[in-house]
Amino acid sequence: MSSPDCSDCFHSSVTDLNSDLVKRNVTYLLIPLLALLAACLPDPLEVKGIPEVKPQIVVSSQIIPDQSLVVLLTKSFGALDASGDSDPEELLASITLNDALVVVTGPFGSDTLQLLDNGFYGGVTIPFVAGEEYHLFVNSASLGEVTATTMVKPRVSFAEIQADLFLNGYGDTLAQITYELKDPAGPNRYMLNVQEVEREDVVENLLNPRAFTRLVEDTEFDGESFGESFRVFPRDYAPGDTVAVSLSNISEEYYQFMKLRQDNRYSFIEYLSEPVNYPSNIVNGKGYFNLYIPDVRFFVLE
Amino acid sequence: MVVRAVVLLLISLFPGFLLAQAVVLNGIVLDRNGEALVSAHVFISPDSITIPSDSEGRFSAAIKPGQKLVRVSFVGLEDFERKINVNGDTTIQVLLIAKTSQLQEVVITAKKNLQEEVFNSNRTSTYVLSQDDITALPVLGGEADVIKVIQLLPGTVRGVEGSSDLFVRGGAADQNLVLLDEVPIYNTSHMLGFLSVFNPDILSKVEAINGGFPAEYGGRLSSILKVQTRDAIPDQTHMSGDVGIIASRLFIEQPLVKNKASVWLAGRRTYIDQVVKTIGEELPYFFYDLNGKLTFQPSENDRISLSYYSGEDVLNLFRDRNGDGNGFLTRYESGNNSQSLQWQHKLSMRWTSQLSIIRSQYQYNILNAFEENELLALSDIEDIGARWNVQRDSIGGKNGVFKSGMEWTQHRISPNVINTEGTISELLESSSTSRRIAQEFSLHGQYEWSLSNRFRMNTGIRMSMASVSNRTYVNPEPRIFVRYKLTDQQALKFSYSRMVQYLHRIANSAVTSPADIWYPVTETIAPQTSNQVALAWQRSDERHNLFLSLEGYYKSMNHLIGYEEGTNLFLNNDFESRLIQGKGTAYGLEFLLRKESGKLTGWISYTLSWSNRQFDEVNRGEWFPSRYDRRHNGAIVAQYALSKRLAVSAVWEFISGARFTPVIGQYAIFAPTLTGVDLVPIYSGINQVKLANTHRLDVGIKFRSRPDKKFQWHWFAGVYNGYNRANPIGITIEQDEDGTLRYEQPGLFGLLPFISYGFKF
Repeated sequence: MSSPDCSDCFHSSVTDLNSDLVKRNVTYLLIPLLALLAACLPDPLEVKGIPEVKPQIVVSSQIIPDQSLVVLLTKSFGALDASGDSDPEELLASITLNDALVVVTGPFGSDTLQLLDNGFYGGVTIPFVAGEEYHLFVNSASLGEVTATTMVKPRVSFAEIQADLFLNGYGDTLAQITYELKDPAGPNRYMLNVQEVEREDVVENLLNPRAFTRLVEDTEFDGESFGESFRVFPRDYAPGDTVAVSLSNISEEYYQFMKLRQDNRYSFIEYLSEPVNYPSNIVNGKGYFNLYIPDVRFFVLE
Repeated sequence: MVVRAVVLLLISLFPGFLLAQAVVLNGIVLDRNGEALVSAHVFISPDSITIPSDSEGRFSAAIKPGQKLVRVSFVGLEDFERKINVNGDTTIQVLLIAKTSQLQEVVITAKKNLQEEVFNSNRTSTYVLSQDDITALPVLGGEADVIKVIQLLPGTVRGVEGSSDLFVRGGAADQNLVLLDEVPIYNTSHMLGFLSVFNPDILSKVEAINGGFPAEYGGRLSSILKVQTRDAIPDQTHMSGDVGIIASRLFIEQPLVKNKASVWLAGRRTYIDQVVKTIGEELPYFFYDLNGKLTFQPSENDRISLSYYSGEDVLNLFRDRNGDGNGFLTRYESGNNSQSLQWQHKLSMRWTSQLSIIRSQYQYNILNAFEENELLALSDIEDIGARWNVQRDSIGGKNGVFKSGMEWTQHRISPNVINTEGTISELLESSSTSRRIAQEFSLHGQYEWSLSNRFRMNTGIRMSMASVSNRTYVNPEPRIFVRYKLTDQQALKFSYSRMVQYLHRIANSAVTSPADIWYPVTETIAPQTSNQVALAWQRSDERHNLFLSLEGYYKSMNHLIGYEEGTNLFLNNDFESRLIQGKGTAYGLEFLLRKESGKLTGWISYTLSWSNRQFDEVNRGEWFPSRYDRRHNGAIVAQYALSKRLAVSAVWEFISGARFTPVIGQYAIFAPTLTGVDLVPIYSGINQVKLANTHRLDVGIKFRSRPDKKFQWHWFAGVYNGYNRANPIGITIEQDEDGTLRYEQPGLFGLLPFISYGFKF
């Protein structure tokens, strides 16, 4: 029987039926799909057979601008002993070496460094001469002996330097560094670092402080003046922030070491990059014996 | 026999008349190895006589004199058809050859007892699969997948769980040439390797050659995977489809001209994105495959086919958390596109020719954009080429078969283009690797013959050449196979092959991805080479339908591609300066026991293998195990037909853990700014640590419609990784709530159920 209302009823009932059918079919399909999407994730498995790391002496050195040499002696440790989230002071306290004899020998004789604090040795003014070789000898009662040799690179300072804030128009405020240097003849490699300087941040970020590092090789401007401008990415800065900008003329070995470290900064998933045993100029140990004198400038960004 | 008896009886009843009128046609049916074919089907017209060949392959029939058409057929072999004039007693020899040029190895077909063909061939490294085996097995997500099944065979190791990478006899994932109707396919997977690009509905035959390579094949060191699509001309329209939880597919074939021309189309698409939309969520990813083929047989001597394939993975994600229109866009598109034209021509009674013209392209682009920042990475490889082979059977009077041919391919490669805009260009500058064009050319010839009743031999040579700017490489690639028949059921086989590879994939040694780049040899990067010998003992038990194979191999490889320590290939256009070349060895023992018919079918495979590498620039120049040096690799594959409509299947797979190089220590040095210390990782020796062993059980059950119905359907349900065991992909360091650190090995897939519905009519 049809009536003006019945045809609408029929239409709506058919529509309802189709709608019910569709919903049922989709539901039948969804059930296994949701089961698939929510499938049990298996528990990870234990790891066996990881070789143990034998602790070795690690050397790290730096000439601070007043020409004093500071050497940090620590020991290598296991991957499970600490991470980037560990308490930095506790970690350093557990790995520093305080039982070592540290001797630096140069063209003017040998100097024995004093233990200043946890693992830090220095306190002696050594006349570092560019182009001369210096030898490091370390003897630790607990970990044995290591040696290293390096040459002092000539100090290269900023001829011009300026640090400003750069607004990109989208709410980012970057630090922009513009500088110029005079490159000595012969192959040279430079490391520029930009680090914001705030007392609390220094303590909190003692481990992996993520300084911005830029590496430059003088193949295109050997013996000439060179200038460029770059922005410190991806950090945001604000007016009033203080930054330390340093320029260092570094050895080829250390340049390759830093380049390798930089190349792996995108290794967001550890097992997707090629593993690397970083090079070292420490014989029987790890780390680097460096003798370069940085030119450090401080700026308050405005 | 009965028919023959009747014929003889009739002759005796009408001796006078018939003896005056009849002549005898005798014959023998052989395969190309010279082996007699028992129970071959012989039909003689217009006399309408049908007789089988006897236990010696012979047949005999009394017929009236005149012109006759003799047709001989045998399962798995090309039909023989010849017109002859019979005016007196005549004897003919019929030689049946394999259905395509040179098959064996892994063949997917609906026919049983194909291991007989493998056993009778004189090449090593041969495995056979049926189409039912592919679709019956409970694989990942329930999608029938050729490559997942091949990974269950001896000699083939898979990579990361779920991946479609093949590591064959110690080789790398880029050392396998995958051909779809003679066209190279550069990316064989969807969904990051979860599924291969091969729609199972279109397959006619798949051959995986792992060793003992015929001279017509080259270009890769470790294997040739030859995927041939359907090319029979149907007599009516057919349609089939499958609806699963990952994807659905549809296949239609349609005759155009009776017995002369036909076309088929097949499509497959995942619809997870559409289904998830119905519940109000978003999953902006899909993939599709589209295949098509036009087959034309203008005469009995010619067959022409035109094939097309297109497939793509698309991810299009836009996230705008604030709803202000400034969102983050991620778009990833990658895909293959290929075409081939093949012409098979019978030149004369014994000569056949096959000409193929091909084009293949693989490209991807990755776009990330946020406000004014944009990062776009592109890569593209395109091949055009041609191949021409000729074959002559029954040459030289010793059942000889001669084959020769030539091949040319031009590779046009844009390895990597990176465009950056906005602030991100401060961190990553735009760069590109220069476009490269490489020409590959080869000539080959081989001859196969019987030295005696027991010895059959094949010797061949392939001369290959690659030309890039300023440098041309020329390499001889000799090939030898020998078969010695111990008994009718047992054979010994030996093979030697030299292979050369002029194209390689720039990929991390741990994991390959669709964003990897293909790169040709250059003035400084030499072609990779390998030399492989294999020795096999095989036994075929026809009565119980069992096939047993035990095979040993040794492979040495040179100029293998590797990377300097610490090389990060992610968005790195400077990879060429980081490439290094070294050596590799691989050796092992492979076992296969297979049953092809009966209620219970399946196989047991086991491989014991070693694979090592050496590069002067890494690991202090010392030898180290390769990443996929997986000592034991075994599988038990079984299907049991409970009834005509119900069957269960199971796969249990065991593989020794892959090798890994974890971080085992660290040390602290001054940060360059002296504001702290950097922690530097210490890695173990390369691939020194073995991941946990992998084992997994998959089960499935299939319920079909009645076999006599025109509309056929089936339900297939089951579970992957039935006991939910992690199959490790690497080693990570995790932190507990109390701050304690520990190593663990995470897996990728746990227990995954599946269900699908299929139909055909």
